[in-house]
Amino acid sequence: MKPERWAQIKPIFHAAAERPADERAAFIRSECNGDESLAVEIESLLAAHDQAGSFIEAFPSDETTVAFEDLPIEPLIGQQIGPYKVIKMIGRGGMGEVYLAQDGRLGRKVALKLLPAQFTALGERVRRFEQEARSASSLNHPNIITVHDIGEIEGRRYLVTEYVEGKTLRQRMESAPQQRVELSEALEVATQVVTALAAAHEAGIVHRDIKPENIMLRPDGLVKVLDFGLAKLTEPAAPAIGTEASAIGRASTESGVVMGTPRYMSPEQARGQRVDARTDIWSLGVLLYEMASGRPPFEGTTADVLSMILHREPPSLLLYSSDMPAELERIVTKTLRKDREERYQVVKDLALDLKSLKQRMEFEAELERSTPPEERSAARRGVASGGRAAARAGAVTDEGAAARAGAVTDEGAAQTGGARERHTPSSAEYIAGEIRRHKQGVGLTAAVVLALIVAAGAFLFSHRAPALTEKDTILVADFVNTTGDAVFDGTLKQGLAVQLAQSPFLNIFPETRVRQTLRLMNRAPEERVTKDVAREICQRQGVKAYLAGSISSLGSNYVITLEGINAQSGEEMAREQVEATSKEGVLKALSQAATRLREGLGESLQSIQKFDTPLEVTTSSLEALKAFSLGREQELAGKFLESIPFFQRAVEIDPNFAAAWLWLSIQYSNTNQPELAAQYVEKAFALRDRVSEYEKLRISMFYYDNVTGEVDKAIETQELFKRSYPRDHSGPGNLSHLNPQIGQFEKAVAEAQEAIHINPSVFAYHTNLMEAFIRLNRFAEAEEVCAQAMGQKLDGTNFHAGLYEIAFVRGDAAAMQQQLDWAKGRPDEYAAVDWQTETAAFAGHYRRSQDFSRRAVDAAVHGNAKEVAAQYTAEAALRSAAFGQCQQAKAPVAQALALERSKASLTRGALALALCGEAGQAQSIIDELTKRYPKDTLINSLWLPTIRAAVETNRNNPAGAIQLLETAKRYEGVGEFWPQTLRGHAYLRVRAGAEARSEFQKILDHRGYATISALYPLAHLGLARAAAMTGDAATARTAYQNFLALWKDADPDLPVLQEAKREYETVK
Amino acid sequence: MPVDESQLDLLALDQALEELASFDPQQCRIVEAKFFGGLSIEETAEVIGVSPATVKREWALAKAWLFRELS
Repeated sequence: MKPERWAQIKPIFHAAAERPADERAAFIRSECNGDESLAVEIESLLAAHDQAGSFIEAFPSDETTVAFEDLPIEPLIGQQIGPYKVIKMIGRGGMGEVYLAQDGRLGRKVALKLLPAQFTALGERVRRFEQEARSASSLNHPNIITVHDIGEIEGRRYLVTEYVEGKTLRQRMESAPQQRVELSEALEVATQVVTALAAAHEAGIVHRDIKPENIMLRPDGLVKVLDFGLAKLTEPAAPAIGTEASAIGRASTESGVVMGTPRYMSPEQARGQRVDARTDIWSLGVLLYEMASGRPPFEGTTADVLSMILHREPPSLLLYSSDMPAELERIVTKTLRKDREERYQVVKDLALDLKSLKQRMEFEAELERSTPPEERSAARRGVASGGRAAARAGAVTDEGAAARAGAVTDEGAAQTGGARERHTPSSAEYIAGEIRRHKQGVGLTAAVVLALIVAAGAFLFSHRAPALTEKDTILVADFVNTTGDAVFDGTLKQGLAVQLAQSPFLNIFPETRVRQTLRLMNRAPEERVTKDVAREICQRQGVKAYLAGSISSLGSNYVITLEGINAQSGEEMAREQVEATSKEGVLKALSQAATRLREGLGESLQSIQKFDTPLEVTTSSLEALKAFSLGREQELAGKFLESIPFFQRAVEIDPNFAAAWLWLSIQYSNTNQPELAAQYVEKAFALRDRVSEYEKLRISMFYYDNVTGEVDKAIETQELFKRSYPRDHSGPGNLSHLNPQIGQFEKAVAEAQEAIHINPSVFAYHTNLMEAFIRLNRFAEAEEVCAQAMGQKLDGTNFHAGLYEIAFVRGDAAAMQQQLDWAKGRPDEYAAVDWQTETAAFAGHYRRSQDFSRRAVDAAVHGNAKEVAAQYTAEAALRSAAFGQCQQAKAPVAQALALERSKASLTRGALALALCGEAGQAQSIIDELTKRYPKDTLINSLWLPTIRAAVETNRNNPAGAIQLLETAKRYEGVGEFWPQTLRGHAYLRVRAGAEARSEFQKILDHRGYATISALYPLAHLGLARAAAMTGDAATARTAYQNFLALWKDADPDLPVLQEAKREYETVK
Repeated sequence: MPVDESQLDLLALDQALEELASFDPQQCRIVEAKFFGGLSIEETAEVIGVSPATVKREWALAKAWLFRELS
């Protein structure tokens, strides 16, 4: 059975079952709409329903369990143990034997583990183990093996778990070439293990014995973690107060329990200290290391391994392979910190890092595969914003090359601190008796060796502290140019900024904040940042250091000097001087100097090697870079239109200057010219291999967002960017722009808050935050955001749009008027007219809303915002359709499309036509959308299914409509209530009252999704009808009253109003 | 043909349930809770987090489908 088919069957079956038997056949035929096999299927199920009687109404009485007498340790093959028939042995070890067995009751295969006899004597501890095994199993996690049964047979405890066919990770590694699994596979396995651990840790359960033998890989790729809680059995009952000698003594008398290798043991386990979730993180690190390199990080005799665990760093992973990602090395190193306080504190953080590394590798692989889409370039038109939210958005602010943020605090650390894992209170003291047992032969010599190793380690690992740390921020001052050649003015600073931006280590103080600080210092924002000014800015803003550069002539040569200076002490931290033999060589020389300076400032060589695209690859032309820096200057002053000619000049001089194409595109986007924006970002995308990782990610994100409309991919790319450059405000900032597009408002809130925390000077982050709060019905918080931003002199139309919505929800007419007054006389005043259009429609003032709409369209046309005008016109058509005024819906659709065939006008127009039964015309727009936007997330997953559902509804196929709308579910937070409304109507048609009710209730519960939508009052009416259908007259009455109250002054001749009044009479 | 309770083939039921879960996991959970767990309609509703009316309806369809599979 296909889920889609089942979804068709269900509503009709339910509705038919509620009808008298003699009416069912006819009902089913009419609902199935000619689908004969569907009708037969439903009839067959109804027949089964009538015959089923008491089938599975009660569980059969308990089977008598087979008694068993003496139970030899082995061989058990063929024996019956309780309900389990033993088939074969699949393993044995220190923890007992494992058999494959058949569960006679359910006929399924299980794994039966018999614990060694001596465990039974442990009493209390066995009970605790059982508790833990059960609770881990009860997590019901796909990556944790399910425990079916725990019991005792003839003095031996047993454990029955699901039987997993496949290999252990140990077997997998042994069969791999050089014992090394592919990196992608290693990450996949580690990610799944981490997911299991996250669930277990969340529930307070620590595994304690993560190793390749405890990890099963199924042939289908699913990973299962075995033996949760088992390691606890070996914990001593007494607290850890023994001396070394007594531990050894005790160990020698407890020789029954033999642990395997200590390779995966954490330092705290080796020391016999209390164990917590961070022990599992360590062991996972060992596992990752071993999978990636083919060698365990600590090798040798047991004593060697133990001392290495305690005191030695493993060889760098980068030694094993040239293409080992530096990020993996960083992750593994962080899991293998001796001091657990320095490790990942919660497994979730590790999971995030693994996930983003995985995504990044996949992403890079894909980038390599895909070809530049030049052939698709100019053919595509109107690749614009997908509707109201996007029409307002414009979060594409950017600090560009110099945009590395000055983090006031370390974001990552702050979050981790808040989300510490719960420590298991039951976690017992752990003495590594079984480990020390292995040390017997080595005796005290081991202690001496240990001491020597410690001393050597201390010597090897002590080195001077780096000049900067990852928490510091650095400011780039203006260059001093004594050559007399103006081409270097501003250009070299820009070049240096581009060059340094790609470093994940350096955090460059954003240019927007430099300008804001200059204003606070009562200086002009565009004033030159000399050394003195730089130092003052640093001191005011807590910036650690500044970079000062200079260029001078020496004969026909040029000398470039770069200095890193501590802003507090004025001391020089690093200095580089290079010479170029010609003007053409200056950029290359600057690039080399910048790279060396990074090293001098404390960045690791690995990081520099990985993120080092030379400047001359970005652009080889000094003139192009000069034009680019002039463009950036205009842009930073908010002069978007004025900046365009400079960027155009830059790409004219150097058509391979990808960053300049991107900036050109961003300016078109900022000035509401999305088609041009899309066209130019395609140029940048085609050149993305020429730019640094930093620029490549930015270009790719912008491309997916604006050209293909693949919002999911844009988010993925942006998340990758954020992981690589965690202190860059545009990481979370752009995520706060992308997430609301697909209805992820909670995420948008978190990202916007993070972005504002890093850089409070960006207007768009505040509006993104405010809008996300509104969508979540958190109106007071939205208002608060607005008030705070305005307190910082940030203001714009988006704030007032939000304030209008909030005032409207509260019924505060005075506050609404304030926003309208604010908008008066502004170039985008048409937006405020549109608020009034919606307000009128909400109250059922259909004709007045038509008037406002016409005015808004006129104003938008005059304001040269054709795309906006097209959207308003299409929305007017859609409102007419919603009010059943189809005779006034068709002409506006044509007008809208004549203005601009944009995403917004095409989708709204097609929906209006579909609702009015114009299936043919709607279909031709559907075809256009499918052809023009084959990958667009919202078009394909939200709008097309919704339009098609409207077509099906009009064809009297409500079941088909419901099925189509399944796809839209994920994104219906941004569907302006259409998916919910159409689904509600379809359910009403099939007389599934309860389902219909829940759809209309969803609209009423999520008013913030579209605060002023006319579908909101109509949802009260839908709810009333649905409640009446289920016989809930009281609810129906209230809902009719609510609707009629909202529409008390509505145009009296609207048919929907008259029908509602008639219906209300019948339930009154 | 009604299925005799005492002859109910639990193994076959288990397999059929797996199939059911593949296209309607919620119905499968309802059957598990009601049949294997011995919960009432109201208790099942509580555990699954839906209304008793939904449990009743879904149970009727799941039972019909399973009955047909096992007959």
